Amino acid sequence: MLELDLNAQRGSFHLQVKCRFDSDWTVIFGHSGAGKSTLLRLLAGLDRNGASNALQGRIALDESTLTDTANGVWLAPGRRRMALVSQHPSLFPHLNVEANVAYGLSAMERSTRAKRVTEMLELVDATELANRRPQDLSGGQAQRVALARALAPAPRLLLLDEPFSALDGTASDALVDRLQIWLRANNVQTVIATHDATDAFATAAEVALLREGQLAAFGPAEDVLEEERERIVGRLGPH
Amino acid sequence: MTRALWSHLVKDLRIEWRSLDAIISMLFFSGLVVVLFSIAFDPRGAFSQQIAGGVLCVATMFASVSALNQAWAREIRHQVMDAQRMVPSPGAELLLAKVIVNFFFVTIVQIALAPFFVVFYNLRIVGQAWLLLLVLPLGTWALVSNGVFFAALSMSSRNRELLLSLILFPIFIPALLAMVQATTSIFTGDSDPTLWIKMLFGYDIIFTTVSLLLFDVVFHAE
Repeated sequence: MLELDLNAQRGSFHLQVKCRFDSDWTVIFGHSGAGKSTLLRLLAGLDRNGASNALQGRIALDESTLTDTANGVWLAPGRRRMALVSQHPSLFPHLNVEANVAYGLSAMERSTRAKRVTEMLELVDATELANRRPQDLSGGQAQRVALARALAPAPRLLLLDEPFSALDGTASDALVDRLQIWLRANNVQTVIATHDATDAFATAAEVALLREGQLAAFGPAEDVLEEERERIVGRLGPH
Repeated sequence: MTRALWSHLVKDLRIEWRSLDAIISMLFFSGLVVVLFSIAFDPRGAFSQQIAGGVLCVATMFASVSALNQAWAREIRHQVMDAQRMVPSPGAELLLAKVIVNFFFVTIVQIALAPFFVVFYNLRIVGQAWLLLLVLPLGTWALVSNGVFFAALSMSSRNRELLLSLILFPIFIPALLAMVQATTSIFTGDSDPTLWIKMLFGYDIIFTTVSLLLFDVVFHAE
């Protein structure tokens, strides 16, 4: 369970969100500039108070407080048991795919680490890419490897920021189906930011609708995205 | 040595080995400083021994800045800083790996500069030459440990290259003074460099400890 009560200023942009994500698969839906990526970065602990940025509020995952500005609590990203996969895969260019996935597993024994890497590559259907360098991968392949790298350290919460944008529809659907089963089996809560309403409908998710940094609606996809659904159906036409 | 530290170390060494960018630029720059000073001052005999230490230290300092400015450039260029921050390992390991790598690069440059000094400065060491094996590594460590730390601090700044010099040079002054005085003492044999070596040692311990302790704050700041 993820609880957040955030009030953040990023330059001229103001983000204000207060809600609780109970579902194991939550979609943050909003158009470009609505604040989806900002919200995910705040959850991951990658954005803090700075010279031009102000953050107030609280983030708690299960029983642990990750951020609480009133009490000066801020847990480093690496200690939050969270993983973030963004549109840009950001793979380490000097490491091959296998080493990229193993990167966050330095505490594991060699054999356990190798087993974990194989499992992750199988999950994202990238076993045959194990020895390739990031520069030899297509956009979609790099995104799948980035997902495997994020899941390898067994996070409690997975944050996905339009991570399948480089995958074609069929490949993306197959990956999401496989991923959902694995995430449920491993008790990993997922928050995915997207501007594609079909992602929300296809995964029967709980949806948080963001508009200009404000939480406009929150609930089942059928209710929250009804207007968006009608717009898409209208554009598809009667046939 | 932890696996993460080793991984960072091997990565930076391997990347530098492929291109030799940092070492070549440092070699050219420091070589140029040494040659230009020798033309400007026409050093001979005792005068050569008095200025050689200063020239060596200043040449090393300016040359190092070109490498230190690139210390985090690859991570920024490939947008992997966020991925580094998300890894559950202390940022201090990353800092330490970068310091060791840059220390190694600068040491190579100093070794390569030695023949230049012999040729252009007709240098004859009167004091205990072996003490240079203490002074130069201690001074170099002071320079790179602060340099890598402040390069990380100025990472998000638009004028990061200028900012690094502006912050690093004033803070490095005590170590530079100790390094120059100790080297000159060794070259001339006029005085005992022990006090300056102790000062360098103390400076290294204090600044390295503070850098390691504060690095996580700098690393996770925007």
